[in-house]
Amino acid sequence: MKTKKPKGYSEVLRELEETLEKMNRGDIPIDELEETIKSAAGKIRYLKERLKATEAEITKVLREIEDGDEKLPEER
Amino acid sequence: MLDQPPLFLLSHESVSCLRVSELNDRAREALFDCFGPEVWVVGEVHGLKAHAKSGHVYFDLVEKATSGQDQYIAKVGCAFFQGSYRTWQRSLAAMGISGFELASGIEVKLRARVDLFTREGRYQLIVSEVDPSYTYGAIARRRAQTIETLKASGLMELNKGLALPAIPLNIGLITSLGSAAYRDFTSIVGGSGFSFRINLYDAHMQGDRTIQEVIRGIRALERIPGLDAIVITRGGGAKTDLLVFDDIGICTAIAACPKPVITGIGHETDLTVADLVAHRSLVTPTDTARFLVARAEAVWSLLEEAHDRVGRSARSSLEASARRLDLAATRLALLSGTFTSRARSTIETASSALTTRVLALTAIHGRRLAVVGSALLRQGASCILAKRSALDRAVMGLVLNSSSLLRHMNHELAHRQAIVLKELSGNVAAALEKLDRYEDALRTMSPKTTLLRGYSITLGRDRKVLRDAHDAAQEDRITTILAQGTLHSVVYDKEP
Repeated sequence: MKTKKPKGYSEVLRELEETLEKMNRGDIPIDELEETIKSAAGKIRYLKERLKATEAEITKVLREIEDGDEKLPEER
Repeated sequence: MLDQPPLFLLSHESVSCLRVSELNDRAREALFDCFGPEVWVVGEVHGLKAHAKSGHVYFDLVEKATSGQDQYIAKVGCAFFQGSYRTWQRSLAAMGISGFELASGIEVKLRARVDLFTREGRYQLIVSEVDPSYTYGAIARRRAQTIETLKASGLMELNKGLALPAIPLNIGLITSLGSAAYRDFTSIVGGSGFSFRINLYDAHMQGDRTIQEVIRGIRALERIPGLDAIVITRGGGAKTDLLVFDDIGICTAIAACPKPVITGIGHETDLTVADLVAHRSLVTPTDTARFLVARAEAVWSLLEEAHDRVGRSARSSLEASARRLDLAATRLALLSGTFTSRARSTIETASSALTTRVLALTAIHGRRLAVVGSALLRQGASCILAKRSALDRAVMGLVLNSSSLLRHMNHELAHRQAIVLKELSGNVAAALEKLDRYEDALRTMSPKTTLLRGYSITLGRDRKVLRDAHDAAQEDRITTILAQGTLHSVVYDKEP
């Protein structure tokens, strides 16, 4: 499933998860914390946009299939 | 020796001799002298006869012995001539008395002239009026007496204690054949649609013979096996006609009858003793018939209701099984659908192979036919043409068939694709949810929220967060970050 997405998505997700893990352990110095959070939030926003685009794409294809079904009423 | 002269000699000389007519005339006069113009006489009416043509009424006035039932000790003939009879009837009507008529068996007090019918030498009463109040009183007395006797012998409630069958269909009927009562009763019962069986005992319902015949009727009918009830009915009539139904003989027969007796004697105001001892009393023959029919109808409607109920429950269980069958059929259709699609793909492969072969064969045959056709032109090209078109049709059929298969395959493919896509969209939603969770985590990890609640962060000399007092030494310069601003301080003491 994720393999179907551009490489960028899984990579960004991995980075995000690592960052979150580090923050959990308290490995991020307090000075960097603000910056790290900002960048993590940016990553989340990016990933969400990607997902929403994909979702829209799927919906569109599904509608096309359904429309195609209606155009084919004869079933032998 | 003869002290006395012979009697006839004596009478001959001293008494004048009379002819019969003279005798009767003198007797008639003597009667007048003795009784005056009119006297009141009481007695029981017997053998009442109305002369249809003249309108005169004749009867005997009888005095019965107090002990015996039918023994009489004196009797006198009475004539109620049409003129007097009419006058008397009019005076009754003027007094507002209706339904009073002379009848055999009733006791009367009458005003009459004592007269002698000279031609026959017979004396009789020439009636001018009958006092109804005396008769009513006598009826009431007799009635009370009958009730008293029945009570004393414990007969009063006997017939009421019998059970009337739920549907009394086998009926013993005591009435006068051909009377209006008979017609009313049988037409209602017969028209009800229920299979009533009527066993008629034809009896006089008025007059001298009524008592005897009704009693005989009860005795005869009660012996019929399987009889449900006995109906005694008659049309309306004079009140004095009803007297017979106060008779101790009829009442005893009804009370002692082993079958329920139903009366419909046709009176509205007073009940006769027969009504009182009967199982049930109704007014007219019509009422009586309707009562029996209504009883049958009640049971019938109960049966119908039961029938409906059984029908309904049967129908609902049938419907339930039908639903179950439908379900099974749907499931079967689904299963066979999968099976069919699998079979179809096999057929499809086979048919495309076949199409190729047929096309090839057609080409060969076509060519051969062309050769043979030209050779057989004389035998008729139409034959060849027909064969050709048959082949063409076969080919067309195959092509059409495969195109519909193809369409079906396309449809199937689209369907599968849709399933995969729907699954994918589920995955996307899950991924979005996961990101939401990360976002929440991130928010809670942001120090700002913690600082705002009053906590602070202390950094050591190396600008790293201090979590343990051991990590700081005395004289260390440390930094404390607050929600608003930063403090710089020096450690002067510490506790573990």
